[in-house]
Amino acid sequence: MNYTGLILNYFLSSSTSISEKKPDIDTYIKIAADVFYLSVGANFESFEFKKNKRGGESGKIKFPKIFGSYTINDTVEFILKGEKIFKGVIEKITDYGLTLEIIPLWGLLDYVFITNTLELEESSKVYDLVLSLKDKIESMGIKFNKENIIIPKDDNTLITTTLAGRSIRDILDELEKELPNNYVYGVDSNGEFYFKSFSEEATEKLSWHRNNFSDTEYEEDYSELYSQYVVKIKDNTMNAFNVLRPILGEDSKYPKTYITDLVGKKTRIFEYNFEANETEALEYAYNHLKAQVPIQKLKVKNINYKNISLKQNKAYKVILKSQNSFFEDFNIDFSTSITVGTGKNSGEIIKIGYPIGYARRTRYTNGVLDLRKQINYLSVCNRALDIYEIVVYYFSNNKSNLFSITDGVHTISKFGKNGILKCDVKGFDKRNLIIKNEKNGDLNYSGIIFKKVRAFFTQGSREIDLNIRSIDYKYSKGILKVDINMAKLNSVLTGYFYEKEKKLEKLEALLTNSKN
Amino acid sequence: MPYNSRLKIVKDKDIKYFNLIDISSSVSVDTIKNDYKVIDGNRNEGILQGIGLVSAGRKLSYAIPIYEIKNTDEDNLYKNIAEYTSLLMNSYSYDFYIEHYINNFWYSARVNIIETSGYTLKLTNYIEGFSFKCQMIDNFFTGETIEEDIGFRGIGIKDIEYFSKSLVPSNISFEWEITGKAGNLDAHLIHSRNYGMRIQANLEAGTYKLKYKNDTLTLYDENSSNYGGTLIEYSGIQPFLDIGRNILNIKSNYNTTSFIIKYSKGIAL
Repeated sequence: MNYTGLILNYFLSSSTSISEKKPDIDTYIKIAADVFYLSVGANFESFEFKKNKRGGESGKIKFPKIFGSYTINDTVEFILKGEKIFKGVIEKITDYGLTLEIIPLWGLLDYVFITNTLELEESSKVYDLVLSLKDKIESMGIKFNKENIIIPKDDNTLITTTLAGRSIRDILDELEKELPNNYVYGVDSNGEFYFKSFSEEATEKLSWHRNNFSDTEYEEDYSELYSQYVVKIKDNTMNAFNVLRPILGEDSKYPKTYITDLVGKKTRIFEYNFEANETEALEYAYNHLKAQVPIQKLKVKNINYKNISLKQNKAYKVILKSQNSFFEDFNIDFSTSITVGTGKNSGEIIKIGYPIGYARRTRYTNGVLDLRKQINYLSVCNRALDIYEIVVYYFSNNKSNLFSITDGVHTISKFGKNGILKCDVKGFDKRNLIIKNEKNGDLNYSGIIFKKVRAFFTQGSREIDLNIRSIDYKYSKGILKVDINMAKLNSVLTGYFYEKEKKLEKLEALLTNSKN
Repeated sequence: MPYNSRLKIVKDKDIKYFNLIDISSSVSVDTIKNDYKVIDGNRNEGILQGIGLVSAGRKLSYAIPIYEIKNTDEDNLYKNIAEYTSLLMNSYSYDFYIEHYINNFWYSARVNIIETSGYTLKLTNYIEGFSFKCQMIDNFFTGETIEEDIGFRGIGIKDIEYFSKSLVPSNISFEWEITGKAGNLDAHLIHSRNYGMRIQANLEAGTYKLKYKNDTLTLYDENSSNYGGTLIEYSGIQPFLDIGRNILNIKSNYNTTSFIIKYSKGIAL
């Protein structure tokens, strides 16, 4: 029986009560051959579609009453404003047919196995391996087009794997790991298989100021950062690991990195599987240590989907929600800019960009912090220039130091305590700020070394370039809500829902079997 | 009876007006929330969905006088009430504006209607009214547009002092006329206390007009037949004028012949 007529009736009866409201015919869900419009409120109790880097993660539809009888493996499509968002098949029907659970098309790759082909047992290139899977992928109703496989063909890395007895997804996962992190395979909403790289350069903007979304939650994950490495080198003759004595991060040759300030002393064992000499190994490990970056995660809530089309895996420049006490650190490289003065009264002036022709000293007696070049208009284009406080972090042997803050017209004096100077600069011209360390009468006075400058603005917003990692479409009570999660493509986010659930199911099955 | 406030209902190009009786009790300081100070999901979508700490604006109550919708027989009245209820509660299809008439100008602000009285009519000031409650999406009521040349001329970087005529912070739009040889335009407009934007474009020799409005920057070429102008990208965020004294920092490496800023005068009400 075809239920489209029934749905249309429903639609007409409800549309008359809402005067003048035209149906939004571009947004609908198609199940098998039936079309359910979103603008008819009574069609759904709720639904939810999640997308991830593979093109889909999961879907769930709840009906208020039974509109049609659907069977497992019927295709489900979600179309928003004429754009196909999600394509999958029904995996489970519960609640006497009221709830449909949907798996994305790529999830089907879990159920295709390579049975007796042993042709590609030897080493071969990734590109060739992917092409060899064509028939198997097409057998699940997924379109396979060579144009969507963009893997460097001339890459000479050969991979040896056993294909027999494994699922297609298993093999693809392994191949994905062999390639750089921005290579992703999946099935897009048109049902086409892809295996290609995504750029991390943003070409489009999402801005809170332009009303593109209502809220952001930004987070930096330090849990995977290590401040020290214990280096192990494999010794082939002994067939054992040789543990090196130095722990990186405490050596004078390998000084502390900023990570130590973030996570404290967190040690990781760094193993070499090949033979190397000691200095080589340490250098390699130290480069690794320095290259660590925290994982940036961003949740963007209530996207204004009426004006923006979101593309999975694409990079966007996001201007976050503006903050009231916004601060920004100005990283001034003090070590290279310290110069010995002319010998007159107060000595050294820190100026960035000046050629250093003078002798350098690591410690000096009197410091002047010239902020005229550090905080300029152009560098603060998208945030407030109304700096209300400047905090200077410095190093000194004395408990308190006297500073003078001037903009050429006004001058105030202030004591800095325990290495922190807080300057209230309301009413000052921020473009002419100079902070000067004054000598006091103490003969043993040893001066200061500037460490960091932090400026507090009355208001401002941050700008971050990130890729879309997952998109959630949630509908309930007549309202569709779109949220996205963003992160760099190369950062590993744990817990893809689909994967997790599969593992849990397997575990449960194992446990119940073992009990019996 | 003359009314000084009205409800404007907009759908595409159709506009409907209803006269209003203001039944909000008072405006106090803590109910006027500046968008950029209270910032927890204060946008349109957020209000409709009621997600997060939505505090876009204050809530206002108004009533449509009953004679506007009253007809001779009672059936008609109830029919009208049902129709108006569904009309007012339909935030997805219509845009609602509350307007006030002050000093020969209508000051309007966009609102979401969150509650209507339904079948109960309210008696205020001896007039029966069909009441509704709304929440403001815009921060302030805005009216008259002010256009003013702020006197930036020539090439270079300059601080310009400008006194705002608006009684509330208001966004700056501008029309900027430049002439010069072929090359790269590097210009900026920055408010010393809030935001700024930087414009970079590759231009041929000629006279151009840069127009910024509604978050879009358009370049008009006087010699070309493209009357719609071409969109150009900019970095940064649209600055706004504070109440009273403002300092605008403007830079241009093309010769500026006129710089007109546009903003709408607003009131807090």
